[in-house]
Order: sequence, then C-alpha cells, then structure tokens
Amino acid sequence: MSILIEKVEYTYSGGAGSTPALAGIDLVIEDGEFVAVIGPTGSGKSTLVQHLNGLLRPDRGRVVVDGVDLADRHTNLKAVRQKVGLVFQYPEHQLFEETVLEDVAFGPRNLGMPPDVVSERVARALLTVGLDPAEIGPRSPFALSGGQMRRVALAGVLAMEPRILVLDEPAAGLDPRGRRDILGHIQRLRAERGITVILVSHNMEEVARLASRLVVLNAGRVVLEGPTREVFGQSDLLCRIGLGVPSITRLAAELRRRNLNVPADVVTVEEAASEILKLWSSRSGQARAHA
Amino acid sequence: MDASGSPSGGGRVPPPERPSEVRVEPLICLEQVTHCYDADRRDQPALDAVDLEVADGEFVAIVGANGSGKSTLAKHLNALLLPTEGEVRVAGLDTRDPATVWEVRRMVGMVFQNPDNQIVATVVEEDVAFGPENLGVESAAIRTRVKEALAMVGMTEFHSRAPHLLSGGQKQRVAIAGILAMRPRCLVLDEATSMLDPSGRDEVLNTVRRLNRDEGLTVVHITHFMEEAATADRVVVMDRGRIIAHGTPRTVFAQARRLERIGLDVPPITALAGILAAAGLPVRPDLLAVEEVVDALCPS
Repeated sequence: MSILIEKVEYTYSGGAGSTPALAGIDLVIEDGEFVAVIGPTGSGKSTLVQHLNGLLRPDRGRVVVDGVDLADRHTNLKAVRQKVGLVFQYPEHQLFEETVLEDVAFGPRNLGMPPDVVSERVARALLTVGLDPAEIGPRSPFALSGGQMRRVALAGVLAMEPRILVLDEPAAGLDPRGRRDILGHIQRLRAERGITVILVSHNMEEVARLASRLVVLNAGRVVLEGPTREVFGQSDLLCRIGLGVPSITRLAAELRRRNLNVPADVVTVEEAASEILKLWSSRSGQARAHA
Repeated sequence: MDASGSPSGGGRVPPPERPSEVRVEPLICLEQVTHCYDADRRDQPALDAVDLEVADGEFVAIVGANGSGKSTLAKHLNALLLPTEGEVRVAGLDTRDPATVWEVRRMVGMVFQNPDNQIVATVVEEDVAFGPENLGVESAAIRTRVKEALAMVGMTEFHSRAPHLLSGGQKQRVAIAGILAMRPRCLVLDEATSMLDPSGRDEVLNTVRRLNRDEGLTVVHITHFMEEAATADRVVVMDRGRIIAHGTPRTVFAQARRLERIGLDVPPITALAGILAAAGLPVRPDLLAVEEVVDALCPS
C-alpha cells in the first residue's frame, strides 16, 4: 500500500500573507517502508502527516493512498482512516473512556464491527504493545503510568489494524526504557505484519537506529531525502537547519580527521564499535608485522 | 563523593567540597522529605525520605524513569508542593512557612515542559514584566529588569514580538527571562527541553549554562536526555521516590548496568566507550564527550 504525495501545498487559514506550512512537497513512500520524517520545529512535519489520512486536505496537489486520492471531495475518508492509523503527539491526552478496554475498543466499534471481533482486536492490540488485557483492561487509563498510557493510546490506533502507521513523536517525554519499549513494539509490528511505518521524530539517534530512509523537511519543503546513512553524511546541511547528526556520526567524522578511517556513515553505537574494533585489530596486526 | 550511593537509597547527598572551613548553609536543603499525593496511600510515597543539598552556584541534573519522583521533587524546591514529612529549606527559609513562601518562589523559578502553557502576555516584554510587576517592583526598575533579562537569554531583538510566533526554544528562553526578571537564585528546569527540537534544546541549554557560569545562577535540570545530564556538575539519579546514586556525570554514567535496570541509559558516547574498553582498547569506560573518545583512540 504505497503513498504518493504530489506537489502538495497547504497554508493554515488566518492572516493574509501567512507563510505556507507546506510549500510543494513531492514524496513517494513504498509499501512496507520504515521512513522517518525529521525537521526543525515549524518545518511542516505534523502538517504533512495529517495529510496522510485526510485530516487536512491539500490546497494544491494530490495525496494518493493505495490508489485513492484524498484530495478528492468524494473520497470516503472513513475507509482511508481504517488503512492509515495516525498516532498524534502525546496521544494519551486523548484517552477518555473509563476503562482501558473501552478506550481501545472505541475505534473498531465505531467502524461498526460486531462485538466479538471488537474484543478480539482489542486484546490483540493490547498484547502487541506489551500490555496484558486481563490485567490492564479493566483499569482506568488515567491510573496508569505515563509509558503505559502512551501504549494504550497506541493500542487504540492498532485496534483499527491499519496497513500504514503514522506516528508523530511517539516517544516524546518518555524515559529511556519507555522510549525503547514503544519503539520496539512498533519495530516488531512492522517486522511481523509488514506494515508501512512513517515516524516523525526529533531524536536523531532513534531515527538512525530505526528508519531505512529519511525525509528532511525545512520551511515546508523536502530539503534532503535518501537512505538514512547517506542523509546523516550531510552533517553540514543538517546542522545548518538546526538538526545535527547522531553523536556517533560526529565521532566517526572526527576519527577520520585524525586518520582512523571509520566509515563516515556509521550511525549507531554497535556499528561504530564493530568498525573501530576491526580497524584496531588490523592496525595492531600491522604493528606486529613491522616489529 | 560516593557515586555508588548507599544500597538502601536513603544516603545523604552533600554538596561538593568547599574550600572554606566555615560550613555554608547550602542554597537548597531537603531533609528526609516524604511526599504522598494520596493521604490514604502512605505506603506508596512519591518521595521517600529524600535528603538532598544543592549548593549556591551548582548545576545539578536530576534523572530517573517516569514516575520516579523527579517532578515531585522539583515542585518542592519552590513550595508548589509541601512535604508530607520532612523539611525543605531555601536559603534557610522553611517552605512551609506561609510568611515567606513568596520569597521562596521569587528565589527559585521553575520552567516547565510545555512552552505553550507558560506564556501569559501577548507581547514578549510584557510577559517578562509579569513577574516583577507581581512583586510590586516600580515601573522604571521593571523596564531595566526586563531589558537585562531579555539580553541575558539573547532575546533582546524579539522584545516586541508576539510570543505565539516564536519557536519552542525561543518561548522557553522567554519563560527563563520572566524568571530572571525576578532576580532569582535558582532556576529549576522540569523537563523544559523535552518538547524541543535539537536546536531548541541547544539554545535553552547553552543559555542556562551561560547563566550558571557567568551569573552564578544555581541550576537544577530535570531531564530524560542523558547527554544533557552529562554536562552538569553533578547528576542525581532517582528511582521510586529515592535518590539511588549521585556524583559527577563520569562516576554516575560509569554504572551503565545499574542505570539500565531502573529504565535509564547512558549517553551513546559512554555506551561506545564501555564496549571499546571491554574489548581491551585504551579507552576509559567513563568517557562522556566525542572529543574524549577521539583523544583516547588517536592521541596527538
């Protein structure tokens, strides 16, 4: 289920001469991809992802999801929202039911699914995010920890069983374990069900670890796009627009300047460790040969 | 300083050694502070007999998992919360004393997570003036204070802007200026960088570091970003309402396993240094900065 974004422009109404939030975006996202969208605050990330399930309609251009044009006024957005699940920033602020089970059931019930299907989906969604339906289900969502509330909110979207999952800063404000947990669930979900994931994040280390492709937005435009490693190779541009690169990538660049030839495109701790160890053992091998 | 903390977690946390023989009362002093949000649940306190001292001019980072009591602790520093048991003193004033509570709040200013919830006025300089106006400062002096405060956070050129048009980092700097205009002694950042993009985080942290260094402002910075905590004078680690470790960033982050057990991690550079050190490379496992790893691997 691919997404095609073509020459999309969007300006929030209010105030003549206001600058466009999206100023001509072209983007294709293939079925099963894990794409991260990065960019400074106000670059248009959240505006862009709200176009992916028709919450916003472009002023100009097209957004085509699985062959359906969302800009078309006749498009049934309910069907689209079943395919594209959108998890907002701080989604736990939208929890409202008295129990976790009720909250997660809200979406599928709204689609008019029979009760047995609904409860099956609710249980599956809660298990997917590592929550035990029997234990957590009857509790009030407001009595849970921040990390658990976030996972319940994610389960609410997963219960719709979307083929495309769009997440706007899903780990913001969580502690390191909470971040690892929630992102681990998303990663596993993608591996097991082959869904497409589009992640908006400010966290460069996280994006480096998870996404295979990066889309960099600035001032409503795509300024850089490509495989994660290649994008992080452009550290000057990323720094100029206020993003920077993972500290590991910065380390690799510094080591190269001192003639330790770690590849410029390492992005994670594990990669850097294995590259440095490899160089080190070959270097000490040479030292022995010279001796 | 004992970085391992005491196994029971109730160990006293002294400020750094001072050269003078005379014992100076620390700016902030928590003694056996326990806080229960729910009086019926005394068995589950949000803070559990916490002892902590923050010295004048110190930069302290507080880290801990969600629900470990960080924010509860922060709110005790300026009497937004009062201890259920124990005592909090700010410059010698007991925060429970209603006669001096406003003096405590003037001395200890708080910046919260969401930049959009802290701005009250429609123009930047009016927002910064709000605090001193409330203190009854006369208007000529307010103007001077607002000017100084905006200059200190590097926002002078934005003085007549509408706050809602600023970036997240700029809004947080305005919030900090509003506190500076009250001439505080301590700034408490309660996850004030968590909603910002990388450049916004840098903006706010660089501002705060400069205020700490140049103006001697005491800073308590609560954060989930370990690389931010790595630049503090001292890191305090909380778990389930207790302080379980404290010390220099180097000594605290050398305990990677222990931190992982309580839901935290170490900065990526420290994680890498740990792996390289374990493999026998000439790298200390407690390095914190890119430059330190570069110097260890490629001595010049």
